[in-house]
Amino acid sequence: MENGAANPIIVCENVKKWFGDFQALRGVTTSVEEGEVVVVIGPSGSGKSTFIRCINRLEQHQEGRIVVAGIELTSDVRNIERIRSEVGMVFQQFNLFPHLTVMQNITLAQVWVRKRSRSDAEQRAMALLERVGIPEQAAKYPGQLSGGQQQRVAIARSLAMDPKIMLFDEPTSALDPEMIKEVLEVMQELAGTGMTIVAVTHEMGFAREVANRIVLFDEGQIVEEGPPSEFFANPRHPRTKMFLSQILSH
Amino acid sequence: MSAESFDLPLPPEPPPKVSRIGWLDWVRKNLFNSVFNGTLTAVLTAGLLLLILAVLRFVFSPDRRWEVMPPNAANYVVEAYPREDLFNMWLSLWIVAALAGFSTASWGMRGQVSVIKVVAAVRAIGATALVVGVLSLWSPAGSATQTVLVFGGVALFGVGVGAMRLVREEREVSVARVLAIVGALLVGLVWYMPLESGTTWPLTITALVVAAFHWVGKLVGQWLSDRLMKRVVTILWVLSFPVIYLHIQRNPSLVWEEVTSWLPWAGLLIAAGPAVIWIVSRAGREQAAGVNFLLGAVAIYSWVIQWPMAIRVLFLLLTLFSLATPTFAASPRARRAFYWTWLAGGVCTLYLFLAGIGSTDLATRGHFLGGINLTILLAVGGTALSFPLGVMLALGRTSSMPIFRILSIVYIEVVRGVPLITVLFFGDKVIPRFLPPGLDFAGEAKALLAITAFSAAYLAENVRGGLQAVSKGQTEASRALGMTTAQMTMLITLPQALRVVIPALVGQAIALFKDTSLVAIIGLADFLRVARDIVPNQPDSLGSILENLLLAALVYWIFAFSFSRASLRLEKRLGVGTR
Ligand SMILES: Nc1ncnc2c1ncn2[C@@H]1O[C@H](COP(=O)(O)OP(=O)(O)O)[C@@H](O)[C@H]1O
Ligand SMILES: [Mg+2]
Repeated sequence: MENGAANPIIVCENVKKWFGDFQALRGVTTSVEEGEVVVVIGPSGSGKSTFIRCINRLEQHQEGRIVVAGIELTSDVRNIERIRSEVGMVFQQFNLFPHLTVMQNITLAQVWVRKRSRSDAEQRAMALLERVGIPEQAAKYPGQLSGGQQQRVAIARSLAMDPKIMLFDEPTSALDPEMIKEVLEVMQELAGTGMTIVAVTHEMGFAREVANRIVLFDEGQIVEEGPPSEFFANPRHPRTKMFLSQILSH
Repeated sequence: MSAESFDLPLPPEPPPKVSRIGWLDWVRKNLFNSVFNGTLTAVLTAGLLLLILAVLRFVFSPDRRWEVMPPNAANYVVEAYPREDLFNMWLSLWIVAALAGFSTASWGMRGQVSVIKVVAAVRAIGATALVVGVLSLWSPAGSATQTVLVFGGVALFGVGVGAMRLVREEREVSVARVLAIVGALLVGLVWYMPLESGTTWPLTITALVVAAFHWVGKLVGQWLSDRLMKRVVTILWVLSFPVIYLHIQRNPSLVWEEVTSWLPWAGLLIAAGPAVIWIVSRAGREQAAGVNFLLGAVAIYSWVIQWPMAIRVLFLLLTLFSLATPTFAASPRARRAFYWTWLAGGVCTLYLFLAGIGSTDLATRGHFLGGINLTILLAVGGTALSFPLGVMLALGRTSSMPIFRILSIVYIEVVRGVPLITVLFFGDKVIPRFLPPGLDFAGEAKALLAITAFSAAYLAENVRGGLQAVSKGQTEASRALGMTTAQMTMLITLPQALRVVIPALVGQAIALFKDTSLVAIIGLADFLRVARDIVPNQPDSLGSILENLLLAALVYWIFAFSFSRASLRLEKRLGVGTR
C-alpha cells in the first residue's frame, strides 16, 4: 500500500486486540510483500509477539482485518489448520517435542498434516538437517542438544511444511552468545532463498544486513517503519530515536 | 562448541580412584557412628530378629498344615470352574506362555548379565536359606524342610563363594539362559511337589511352550525389523485377550457340531463382502440398486426361514455396507479402508456369536470363575478397560466443550465420592433392572464393569494431572504446524502426559489388583476368598486358615512387587524425568 504493494502476502488493517481490559494492539496497519524480510523491534510488552501470533491465529484479533495468502482470518475460517501449515513459526523457547527424536520432530507434521509418506518425510527432514548444519543429530532427543542446535531443529521442523511465510519470535533471546550466530546464519540463508520472513529480534546486525524493512512497535502500535538504511540513519519519530539510542548504546 | 582443540597446557586426567570400603567399615560408618545410632541399630536388630523368630516358629510349628496346599492347587487357581473343562484353562495359559516366550525374544531379554551378579545371587540365596534354616531350629520341632534349608543353604553358599573366586569379572551370560535354568529348576520342583494329579504335565508343557516360542521369536526376529516385530507382538497380545476370553467364558451350551454347520458359510460371506463392495462401488446407479435389493431380500428371507442367527446378522450387515458404499468408498483409498472395516466388523460379529452372546445361560449358571484366575481377570481386565475410559474422561474434563466437561466432572466426582463396595453392589443389583426381565450378566462381568467404572474415575484424575504438566509451548508448536486438536492430543499432549503419570498409574493398578478382593462381597470367589473361606472349609483341609492367609499375603505381594519392578524398568526405558 504505502510502498505501492505489488503483491502483499500479509495485509493487516487497523488490527486491535484486547486481553481482558488491557489493549495489546491499538490498531495496526501494515502489509508484507512476498519475499520481504520484516524485522519487528520495540520495547518489551509493546505487543510484538501478540502481533505476529495474530498472523497465524495463535491469538485472535477482535477488530480490524488480517489477510494471509489471500485468506481473511475470521472466527469462521474453516480449516484454520491449513492456513497455519502455510505459516511457519519459530519460538523463543524452541518448543521442540521432548518425547520425540529430532527426526520424528521434523517428520511428524509432514506425515500427519501434509500426508506425506514416511520415507518421503524422512528424506526431506534429512535434507533440511543438512541445510541447518546438524545432520548427525537426527537420532537424538531434543534434551540432548545445545540451545542453538535445538533452535535450528525448530527451524527445520517449520521449513519441512514448505511454508510460504516464516514467523520468528525472538529466536535468539534464549541462547548463549556463542550460539546466536549459528541461528542467525540459518535465518540469513533462508532470507536469501526468497522466503517471506517476519521476525521479532533485537539483533541489530541482522536487521541492518538482512531486513528489507524495520518496524518499531510501542504501546500496541507501529511508531515508525522503513528500510534499515533510513531507519537507522535518520529516524523521524522521537520515540524511535530514544529506542535506538538505548539499544545501540552498548 | 568448536571441535578443534588448541594444545592448551593441561591434559585430561583419569578420575580419582574410589577406594572400596569393606562391609565392616560400612557398618561402622553408617550404623554405629554415634551412641544414639548404635543403640537404635541394636534395638531395631533385636526387634527384627524376634519378629523373624516368631514368624519362623509359626511357619515350622508341627501344628501347621502346609501339606493341604498342593492338593488344593486347582481351588486356588480356578476355584469352581468345571473340572471337565479345565483344558480350556490350560490352553489359555499356554497361549499366554507362547506369547510371553515370543515377546522375550524381542523385549530386552536379549541382554547379557555379568556372571558375577548371577553367582552373587546364588550366594545370597544360599546364605538366606542357611540363616532361615538355622534360626528355625529354635522352633519347637524339626522337620525335613529345615534340614533341606540348612544343608542346601550351606551347599549353595559354598558353591557361590567358590565360583566367585573362579569367574573373571568381565564374563557375561545371556539373560535368556539364566531364566531357562531357573525355569528348569521350577519345573523340577513341580515334579517333586505332590500336586493334584493331572497338573504336572500341563505345567511342564507350559515351561516348554515358553522356551519353544522364545526360539520361534528369535527366528522370526531375524526376518522382521525390530519395529515390525514389536508391532506384531503388541497385536498378538491384544488379540490374545478375546481369544482367551472365548476359551474360558465360552458359552457351555454352545454345540460345536451346530457351529460347524454355519461357520464355513459365515466365513464365506465375510470373504465375499469386499467383492460386493467392489461391484457396488463400480456399478451404475441402477445396478447398485439391484444388488442392494437382492441383498435386502435375502436378508429378510433369512429371517423368515430362520437361518442360523449369525448368518442372518451377517446378511443384514452386508446389506447395510452395500447401501453405504457410495458414501464411504468413493476413492480407492477410502474403499480400501471400507474393506478393512467390513472384514473387522464381520470377524467381530462371528466372534461375539462364538463367545455366546445372547445366551441366557451366562446368567442362570451362576459364577464359574474363581481363584487367582478371577483376581487376575478383574485386575488385568479392569486396568485395561479403565485405561481408555479414564483417558477419555480426563480429555473430557480438560476439553473446551462444556457438555463433555460437565459430564466428565459429574462422573468423576460422583464415582470418587463413593466406596468401591457401593459401586460393586450397584453393579450387581442395579444393572439387571435396566436389562430385559430374565436377562442378566454373569457376576464376573458385573464385577468387571463396576471395577472398571470405579478405576476409570481415579485414572482420569491422574491423567489430568499429566495433561496439565504439558507446557503451553507444546500445544502452540503443534498448532503452529497445522495439527488438528485430535492430532495434537494423540501425538503430543497425551504421550507426554502419560509418560509423566506412569508411576501413579502403576500405583493405581497395584491398588486395583488388591481391591479386587472386595468382589467377595457380591458372592464371587476371588483368590483371597478361596484362601480365607473355601480351602479351609474343605473336609481334608479344615482349620488351615492361618496358613492360607499367609499364602494369600505372599502371593499378593509377589504379584504387586514384580509389577512395581516391571514399571521401574518401563520408566527407565521411556526415560521418564530425563526427556
Ligand atoms: N495471554 C495474555 N493474557 C494477558 N495479557 C497478555 C497476554 N499475552 C500478552 N499480554 C500482555 O500484552 C502485552 C503485549 O505482550 P507481548 O505481545 O508479548 O509483548 P512483546 O512481545 O512486545 O514483549 C503485554 O503487556 C502483556 O503483558
Ligand atoms: Mg515477546
